[in-house]
Amino acid sequence: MTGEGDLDRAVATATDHLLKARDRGGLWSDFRTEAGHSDEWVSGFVACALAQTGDVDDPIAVTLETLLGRQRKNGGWSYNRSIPADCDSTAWVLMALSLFPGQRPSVMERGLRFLRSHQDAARGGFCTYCASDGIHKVIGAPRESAIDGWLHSQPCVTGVALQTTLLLGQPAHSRMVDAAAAYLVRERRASGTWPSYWWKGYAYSTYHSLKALCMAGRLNKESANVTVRHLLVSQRPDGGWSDGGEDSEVFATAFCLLSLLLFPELGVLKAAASGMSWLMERQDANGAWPTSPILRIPAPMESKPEGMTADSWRVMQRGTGKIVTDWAAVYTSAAALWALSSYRRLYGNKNTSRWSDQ
Amino acid sequence: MIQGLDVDWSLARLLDELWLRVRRLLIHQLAASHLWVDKAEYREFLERQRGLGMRLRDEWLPQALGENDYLRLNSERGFRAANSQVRAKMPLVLAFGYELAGSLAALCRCKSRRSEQAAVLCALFNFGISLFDIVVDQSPQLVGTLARHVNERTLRHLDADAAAVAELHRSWAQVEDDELRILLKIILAFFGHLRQLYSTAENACVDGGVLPHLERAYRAELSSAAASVNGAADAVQISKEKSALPFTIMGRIVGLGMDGARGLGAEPALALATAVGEIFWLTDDLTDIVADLRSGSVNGVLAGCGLAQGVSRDSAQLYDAVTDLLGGRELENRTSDVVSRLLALETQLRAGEFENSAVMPFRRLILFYVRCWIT
Repeated sequence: MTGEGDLDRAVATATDHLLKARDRGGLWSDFRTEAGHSDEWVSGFVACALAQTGDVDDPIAVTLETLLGRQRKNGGWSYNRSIPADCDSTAWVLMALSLFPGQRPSVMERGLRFLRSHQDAARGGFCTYCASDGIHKVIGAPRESAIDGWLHSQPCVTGVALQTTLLLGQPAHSRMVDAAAAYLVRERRASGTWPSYWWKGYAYSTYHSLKALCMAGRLNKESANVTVRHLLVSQRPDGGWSDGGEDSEVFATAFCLLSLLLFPELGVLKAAASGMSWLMERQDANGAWPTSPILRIPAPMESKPEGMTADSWRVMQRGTGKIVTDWAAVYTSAAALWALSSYRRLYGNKNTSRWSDQ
Repeated sequence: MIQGLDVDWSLARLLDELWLRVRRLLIHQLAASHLWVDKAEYREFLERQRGLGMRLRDEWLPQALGENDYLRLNSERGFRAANSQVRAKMPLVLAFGYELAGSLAALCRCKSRRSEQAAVLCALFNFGISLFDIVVDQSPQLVGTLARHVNERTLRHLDADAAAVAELHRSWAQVEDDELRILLKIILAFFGHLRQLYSTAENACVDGGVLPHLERAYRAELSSAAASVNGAADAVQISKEKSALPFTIMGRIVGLGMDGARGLGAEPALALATAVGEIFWLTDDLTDIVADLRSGSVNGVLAGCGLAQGVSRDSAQLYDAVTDLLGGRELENRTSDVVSRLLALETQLRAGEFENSAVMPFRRLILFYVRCWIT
């Protein structure tokens, strides 16, 4: 079991690890794909995770400055400098910028316009790329239809894009929010979870879809209960969660814990405390967490990769149709830090006996 | 208008310029008058204020909200799209109310156990009005429900009638909407503390007490939400009442916490609180100008330039309005007004019979929060 003060230490060492892992421009790099390492997309996510700790305004300023300089003329951000801007990277960077005050209005306005242009008018969801982004040319696809999967709206992208548009002031009862929320509700499985396109398993997509629906005021109590029940039942005896494998995984545990913590009044404390302990026990001395293959790069024409069996994905190989690890231990560590910060904010650093839900 | 340019594109740049101009003007003029807190001092003060705010949050909100609503408030779900804003600002909002009350009592040489109660009450009040703003802005569809629960009749019951209060406790705990219920519980907690102070106050009738001002502030909030503004003068008045009246109310609460026989009494605290309220009203209108322009919210600067509430939806109109604003002197004049009121406050502090040792901490508190508003 973890003792008093351990949670503060875990958060502090993880924060320190992440702040030291940046390049001279203040950006983080992680994942290795055919497109190279990601810096903009990864940095947007990590900055959001660090914002949850409460006080990184000063050290994060250089990161935000560099990201501001990377905004494309079309208002978007990208996986990295050599790839066209995409909706997911743009949503993460805008979310990060919105969590730290003092951004120029035009930056946010142009970013928001880029996000809007990636909403599928028919389905309501957000797609990573739209045809005009020109990603098919970059990857050498013969025509746009050869990358249908990457142009398709996805819950894992929609959840983040919807959160960001709401953070930037899009009214909750606008047509845009209505359509995106309706899309997420349609894509929800009977278990109350959401499938993912770019990530192994359901944990990431479920947390972001739930949070987006909560922010939009479109998640009813019955639906929340279904998801929470599923998460409680699928928790492993050791306190962690898995995104499809035999063992508990840090990435899946972080996002399942975050999902539970969205509903602290629904009797989740015991499970959350156990998930928190599992995460803390796996933290390395340097503040990072061990990584595993988490990011999927589906073949560009593949629209529904969740239908593929686990062994049809290649691990850490070239090309598409594969799953890659965050080799720099940045992305997984940021996810774990986010979850621990959220737990600490709700239940504090001390024992949990004050809270009576169990 | 610039020929050949897309209005939306050039408007975004103009809004940047407006946003930057306001901040530049404020910072330069405040610095020139030695009213700008330097970065190191600001960071150090910010840390302490956050620490104080978190202590107040942990000490007072669980009993006000009950366990489940307190957890909801601190989760990533509470207050929907405003969640990160509420979580980030909550400690400072609580700390500001508490510190303002404490420093006013200290200036008037009236620090006591009751002034501590008044400080907690001001923390709750400041937090309550910030939540009120969020509920009204974010969920306009709830304004009707809110007005059914909180109106002049219930405000009077909350002030005095124990049986009616118990009934409101029961009925408000059943409210389905999480955000509205949390706000109502904060209102109940505020009135609970207020009744305690009233019951032993020696200055309960400082120009009519707290309640009439609460009612006025409440009406101003609802008017601004309902877009029921009649002309520029009305808009300026609503904007002023919305931002400045809460300070007057906190001044009156501080007065309730004073022991009549001791110190300078309630009037000087009320005068200072009112002066501070007008400074923050003017600062608010300047720093929120771009956001208010885009959302069509009530703003005194915009109203003064002939931009009524709700004009902001059309890009071409917005473009012309911002061009006029940038080409005129209104921003400079408003900024000078903020600075001269701060200087007048300093004169007031020096000229009065205030407790000498409390003057500098009070000055630092106000200047810190002015910088906080701007950045």
